[in-house]
Amino acid sequence: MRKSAAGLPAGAADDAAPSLRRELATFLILAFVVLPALLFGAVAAYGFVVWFLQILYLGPPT
Amino acid sequence: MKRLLAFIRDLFLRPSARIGLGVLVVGGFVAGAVAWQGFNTAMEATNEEAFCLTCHTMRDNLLPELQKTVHWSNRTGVRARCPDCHVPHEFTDKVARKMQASREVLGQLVGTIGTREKFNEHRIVLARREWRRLNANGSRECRACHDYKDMDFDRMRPASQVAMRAAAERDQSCIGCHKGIAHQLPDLKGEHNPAFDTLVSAAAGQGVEEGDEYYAILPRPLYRDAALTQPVGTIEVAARVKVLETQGDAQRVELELWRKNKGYGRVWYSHFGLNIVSAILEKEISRDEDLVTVLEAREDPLTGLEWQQVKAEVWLAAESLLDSPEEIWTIARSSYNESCSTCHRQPDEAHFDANAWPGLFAGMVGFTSLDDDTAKVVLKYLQTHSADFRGTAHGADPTLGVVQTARP
Ligand code: HEC
Ligand code: HEC
Ligand code: HEC
Ligand code: HEC
Repeated sequence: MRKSAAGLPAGAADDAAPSLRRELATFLILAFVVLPALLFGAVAAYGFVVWFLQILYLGPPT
Repeated sequence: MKRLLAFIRDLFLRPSARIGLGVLVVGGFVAGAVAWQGFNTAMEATNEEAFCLTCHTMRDNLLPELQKTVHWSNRTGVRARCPDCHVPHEFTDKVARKMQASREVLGQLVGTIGTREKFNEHRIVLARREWRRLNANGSRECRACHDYKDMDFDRMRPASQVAMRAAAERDQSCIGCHKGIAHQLPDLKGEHNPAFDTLVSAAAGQGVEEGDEYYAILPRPLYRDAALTQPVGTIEVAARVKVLETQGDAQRVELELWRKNKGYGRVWYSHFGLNIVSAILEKEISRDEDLVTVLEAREDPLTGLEWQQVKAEVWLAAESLLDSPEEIWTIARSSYNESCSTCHRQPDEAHFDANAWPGLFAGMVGFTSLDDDTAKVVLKYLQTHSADFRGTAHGADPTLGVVQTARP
């Protein structure tokens, strides 16, 4: 990872540390939108996998 | 793509520059709690009866039926809601079931069972799925509310006691006996057993040699001509025929069967003295000497009736025959084991003789959900595996040897 003089991680053009607003927005979106979406997606995927396994191998749950 | 990866990496690996760790932890905790609560709320909301009933097919067809039953309104005021019976109560199975519902949502959008007629037509398929599910899990959903271990059999109605005690002893699945407790039973008459489809496709792949013997897979109409226009009767399931020739989609076959020399003599049996129906001819045809040749006559000492061995050459549609009845018996055996074992152990096939089975069977078949065709196959199976045939290969002439003395 390239480091800037200040020791902060450097990314693309907007290298310098992001503003508080921006970081907060990222955090809120991650915590309240992405996280629930992932949770839902993971459970749904789990459900589908179990369902398909039931169709293919397991048969109806006992 | 690369930028996306970099973005995700940064998202997780780059420490925050402005927000304090505490804020992150507290924020994350709150977000987690909210998400979890939201998830549970969603799971519960989709497990509400009201949610089930938002689909009009459910509200119009199933609700009015349930409302007539004890599970809707009763002395004790305990209600069974749709999900109590239909949605598994454990997490994994429940989630799987909810994902399975995606197919139901699709069905709703496409309108698979959008009208009462379509619903009634499709109903048996749906019911079979529920029966299969409840059979597999031992009716776990019913038992969340009423289980054997909590039942006081002495206080049941006398009619219930014997059956229910026996069921508890064997820890049987409720649905084996209690079908149609919440909704009308699907119309089973004229219903068609999906297992027969495999027979039909097996028969389609069956090579047929002229002069060899084959077995009819299902009841099929018989004709006098190769164009299949003049019907003469029907051949019954698993009846044995000899193929004489194939012409396009039709086959000329020889029937060599027995009949009672009485009345029209239109019911033909597979063996002398045994009421195993193999073909039923039209009454104008059965005495027609152009079609039917009498080979031999013999008196049945038990009934004093004269039996005639008769022969006829008739046409039937191709792809109706198999070279062995075993595949038919496999289907019959599993139907028998499944349908006739719910109240008592299914009797040994050879415990009764071929002429006793029809009466016994007729008295019992009403208790089961067998459709007409399957019931016929099962009866045929029982007769051909009855005491009369014990020790003889199927199809061998049971009148030779011990058979006559094996009858009561
Ligand atoms: C939510 C709990 C609940 C569930 C789930 C449930 N039941 Fe019931 N069941 C009841 C109640 C309550 C009664 C009525 C008791 C009374 O007589 O007051 C009842 C009554 C019955 C009766 C007696 C009917 C009569 O004529 O007396 C049968 C049979 C029955 N249930 C079978 C089942 C079967 C089979 C299932 C599973 C498909 C099932 N129940 C699922 C609560 C439930
Ligand atoms: C072997 C078949 C069989 C099985 C399995 C079975 N039952 Fe029954 N049950 C009966 C019969 C038969 C009756 C009497 C029905 C009637 O008279 O209408 C009965 C009656 C009942 C009754 C009414 C009792 C009363 O007060 O008279 C209830 C409730 C009941 N069953 C619940 C269950 C439940 C719950 C299960 C599964 C845990 C179950 N049954 C499994 C055959 C069975
Ligand atoms: C007491 C348990 C119970 C309740 C409550 C119940 N069902 Fe059922 N349901 C069954 C059983 C058992 C079957 C299997 C078919 C049968 O035996 O009638 C079934 C079958 C079905 C089927 C398949 C079609 C059919 O008729 O066989 C649908 C759809 C259905 N139920 C929807 C509902 C809806 C919607 C509700 C709520 C209004 C509901 N069920 C309430 C027990 C229940
Ligand atoms: C609903 C429960 C039930 C079902 C399902 C059922 N039976 Fe029965 N069966 C009984 C009862 C109860 C008796 C005793 C009745 C009697 O003796 O009159 C009986 C008796 C018999 C007997 C007489 C036994 C003897 O020694 O005389 C035979 C044979 C029989 N059943 C065959 C069958 C067959 C075949 C099927 C499947 C098509 C079947 N049963 C399905 C309840 C059932």
